[in-house]
Amino acid sequence: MRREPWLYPFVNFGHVVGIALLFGAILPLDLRLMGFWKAVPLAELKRVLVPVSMLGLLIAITTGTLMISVKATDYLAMPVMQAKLVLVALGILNALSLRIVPAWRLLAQVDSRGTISRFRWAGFFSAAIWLSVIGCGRAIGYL
Amino acid sequence: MSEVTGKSGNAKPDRRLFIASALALLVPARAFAHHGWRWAEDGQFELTGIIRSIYLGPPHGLLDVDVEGAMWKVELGPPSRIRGAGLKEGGISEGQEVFASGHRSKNRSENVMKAERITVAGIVYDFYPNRSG
Repeated sequence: MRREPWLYPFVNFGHVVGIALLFGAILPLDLRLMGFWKAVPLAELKRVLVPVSMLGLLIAITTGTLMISVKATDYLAMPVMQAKLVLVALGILNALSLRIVPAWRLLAQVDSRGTISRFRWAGFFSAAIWLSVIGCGRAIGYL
Repeated sequence: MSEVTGKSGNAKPDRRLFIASALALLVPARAFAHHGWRWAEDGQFELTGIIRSIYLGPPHGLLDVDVEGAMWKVELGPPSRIRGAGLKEGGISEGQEVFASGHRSKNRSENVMKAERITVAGIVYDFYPNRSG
């Protein structure tokens, strides 16, 4: 990273692209879970948006790890970085926890129009968590 | 405390703890690699000391400088500006005297400044030629 002048900016660029894919895909899904656009079948929306957000997450985690590595001890000592990492873990757990909800697993078979209370909460937490992650990430360069 | 406040007594300390933790997250353990200049004072600030450690990599360069026994962090620009100033890895070394001119952190409890230019062994490295001072 320190040898090639273009490498860090490129990784930084990749991090933004990863975040854009993750948040851009997850927010519409979160809003649908919360009860917006009830006429759109959740099963089909999920089929498109979950893989896109997972790809974004993968890119963001890879590039983020690389950027932390240039000054790992300094970055990991920052409370805002620690908060960000905890929030990322919470965001992933929140998403994974939907997979054990029976209604989510059977989404394709059941009538997917409408939403349920469990989905509303998952969508709300997801949007709030990922927004906070972006906020923490932005703060790292300014604290 | 919770007995006195009655019904809501259980919820309140939790919320207070949450807000306190949230605010604690906003206080940096140590400052380094700031973007921009808004975190620094407007007035010009200068120091002279001995270089103890050198980092010229991304996202910003950083010198640890011993100023008469007090350790200072002198933030430099990003690698592109460091190269633009003609400073290369190995161009300066630990133990050399450095004169740094720039702006001090608004947080006076920390010994941190961002340099616009530094002088080492008579050579001026100007990271921000367009910034006067």
